[in-house]
Amino acid sequence: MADAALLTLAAERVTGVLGGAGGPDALVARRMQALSLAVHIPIVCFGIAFPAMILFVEGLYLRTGDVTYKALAKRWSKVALTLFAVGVVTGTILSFEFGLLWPDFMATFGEVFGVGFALEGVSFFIEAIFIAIYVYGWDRLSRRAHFLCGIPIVLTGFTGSFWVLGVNAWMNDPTGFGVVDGRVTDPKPWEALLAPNLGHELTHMYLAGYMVAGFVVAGVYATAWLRGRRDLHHRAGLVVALSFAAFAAGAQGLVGDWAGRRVSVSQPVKLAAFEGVQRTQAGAPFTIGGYYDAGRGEVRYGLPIPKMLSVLADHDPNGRVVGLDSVPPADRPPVNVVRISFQTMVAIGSALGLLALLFVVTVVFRRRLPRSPWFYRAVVAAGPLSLVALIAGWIATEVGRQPWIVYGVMRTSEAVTRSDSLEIGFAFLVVVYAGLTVAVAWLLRRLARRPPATELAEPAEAGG
Amino acid sequence: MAEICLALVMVGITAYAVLGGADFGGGFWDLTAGGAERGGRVRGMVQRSMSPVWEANHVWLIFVLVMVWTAFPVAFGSLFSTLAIPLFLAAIGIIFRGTAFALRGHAGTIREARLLGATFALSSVLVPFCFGATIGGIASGRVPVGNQAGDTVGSWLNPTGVLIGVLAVLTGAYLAAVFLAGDSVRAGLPDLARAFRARALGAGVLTGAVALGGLVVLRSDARALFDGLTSGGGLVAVLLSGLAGAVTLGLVATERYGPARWSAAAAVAAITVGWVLAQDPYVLPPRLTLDQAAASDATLTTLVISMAIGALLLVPSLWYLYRLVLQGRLDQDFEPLDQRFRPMSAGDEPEARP
Amino acid sequence: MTGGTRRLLPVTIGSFVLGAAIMLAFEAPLARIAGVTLLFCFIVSGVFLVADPEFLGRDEE
Repeated sequence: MADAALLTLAAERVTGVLGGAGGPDALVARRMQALSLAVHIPIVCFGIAFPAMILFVEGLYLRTGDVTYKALAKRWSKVALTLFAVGVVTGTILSFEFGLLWPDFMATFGEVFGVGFALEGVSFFIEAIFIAIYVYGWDRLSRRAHFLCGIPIVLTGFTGSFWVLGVNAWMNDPTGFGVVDGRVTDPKPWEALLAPNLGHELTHMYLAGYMVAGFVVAGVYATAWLRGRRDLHHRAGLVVALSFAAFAAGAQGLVGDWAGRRVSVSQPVKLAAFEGVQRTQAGAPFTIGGYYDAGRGEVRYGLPIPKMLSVLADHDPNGRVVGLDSVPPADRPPVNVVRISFQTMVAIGSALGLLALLFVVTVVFRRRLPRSPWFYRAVVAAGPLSLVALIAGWIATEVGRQPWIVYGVMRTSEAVTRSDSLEIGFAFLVVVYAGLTVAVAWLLRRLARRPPATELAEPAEAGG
Repeated sequence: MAEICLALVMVGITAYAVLGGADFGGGFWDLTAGGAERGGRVRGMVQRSMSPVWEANHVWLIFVLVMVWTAFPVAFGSLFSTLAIPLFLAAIGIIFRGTAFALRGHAGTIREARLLGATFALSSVLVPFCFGATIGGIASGRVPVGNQAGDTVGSWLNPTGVLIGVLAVLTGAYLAAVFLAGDSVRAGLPDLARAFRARALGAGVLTGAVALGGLVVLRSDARALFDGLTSGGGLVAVLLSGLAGAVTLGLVATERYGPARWSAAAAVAAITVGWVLAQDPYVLPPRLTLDQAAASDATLTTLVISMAIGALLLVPSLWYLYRLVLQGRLDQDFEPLDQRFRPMSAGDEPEARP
Repeated sequence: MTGGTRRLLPVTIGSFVLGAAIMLAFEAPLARIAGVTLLFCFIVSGVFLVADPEFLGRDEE
């Protein structure tokens, strides 16, 4: 079944409308794009999850009347605004890079998937508007109006991801257009953007957003906790953030299973790369660790678990898993990068799931927070670890799609700009992002160091 | 359908030119505000005016980008590959600018403040120049269809490109001064209103002079564009723009800043329309026409419908934001920037609001 | 736990178990929608269960 799909893909190859010859710097271009995505996506996580967390805390304030919650929500909303500003900027760069680095991809397929970005733009615009109103409107709008203004931010965090992931899902499983003589015909944007992959990609990323934002924020408060700061402000910050992260982590495992099963059907070669499966086989093992030796076509020094991959991919211990040798070597992704990224993501994700379980069980059944400092140290580590898992997962799926920019239809090397001086641009970008990271970290530390009470030294409220 | 999409792109470009341009112009005045003490009040006003709206202003850029790559993908790919240098520089400038702006109010030492301020101000001049040069490159017919098929340097670093780049900076400065004068009145700061009024008048006259003189440049460097702007629809638009500009100067001189905002915006809108009319029927002169560049009808229709639905949500939201802003309900306290740096104290300053 | 949150515990556990069962057993789009909805309920009720004002306000140390 999968082989037939690959044969039909071969028939649907498209030649780029600007010539399709590409350029010499495809690898540099990929690295530039990857760097920009790696900087942008963690911020997106905050865009997805932070508004809900902030609104929850504001809700606590409205329910209990305790201004400590108000100070916490205000503090968080200022952080959100800073991150959003950085996200606007990094997102703008990404949009520019689509044109700068991949002009033939945009020229050829822009009419197929472009509407997705148009809708994401609308969503994002609404988000910008309401974040401004929310942050600058504390104590200036009525309490109810202010809370209600937070809701569009939560919703647009979802809709924005929806459309962007729609495009990515399409890139991995292209539909919604015809091919005649290597030219794109009859584009159907709705069909393209509501591609079969969208369901699991969106759910997986949406939950990942809650995990990253939750664990990173919880890590900040866990650090404070370890230093003895355990007043209501810090306790609430810790518990709220950790709750969001923990329950999202609990659900994430199931979504990961769904994603794995879909990939085995729509991009079998990617799954083979995830696991370093050389030959198509039934009852394939899942090998933990080790290193894929392309010359010998096998994973060496790993720990194989028999039948496990077939179970994961097919829920059938004797399920057939397509191997790397079903396609010529030129059509295979770089296996080690993909495999290590994938396993890193799963390993960290599982560890976070266990941490989450420990937290929830302790709180619900023991009715207290965990007492051991090791728990809090683990939470501190969970923040950066969740970021690593996030990036690893994105590397696995994006590098796993190579050599295709549109799976089975257009190669990345054909889409790239003709420019031969991309190294200069890349060097520039690295310096700029390094500076950006330093600057943002500096600002956030500044904000965090201010005592929470300064959030409340504001003019009197506009009234309920 | 293609015409509708082009009209939407023009709306986006105009909105970005007015709102984003005014934003960049704020940075221009920041750069030229003078030393730390004298300039602090001007800079504080710029900061205060920009804060609630600057991100919403810049989303128009994304809107334009996305509309072009969906509705006119071949033109998009061609122009981004040939004009890669100014567009890349603009992108870098946007990163610097956004970051510097977000961080500025939190500077703890005068060195930090100066560094951030300079970064913000310089990038506020770089970005509009690069965008103007890009437009100049397209309008003067230097972007052929293809993957970087044009000259990557000569396409934008030429008399027309430089002219339009400079005009973009000046126009932004002019718009900003007009808006900031109005904002100063609302903040109850008449000395600043007068300062910005003077700047608006100066910038307005200078912009007009450069625009007129620029026609001579265009006549020798980009004859087709010159012809387009001096005949038919292009000429009407240019004249309307000039008229609106003159009206704005009059309104500013008589301190009627509210209406002045609108006439200034109208002047920019008119010249944007003029540019498109002057290029008619080409999207990428001298070869790529609108019909050739346009995506299939299915895509264009989907795009227009999506934008219409999006507008239903977006327009009321924007209206709500601007209403709150103009009513002063989102105003933060006015604080002259960088005045807090007396002999440095050991710990963090007890900060006022950002 | 206060009375309100007492109800959340079975809702949390129930939506997780049911959601997990559906997600693991079925692949059809409708099942995926149902499963994700249940998992979403799990997360929402879980957060309200744990981050409850009475628990947050407690002074433990």
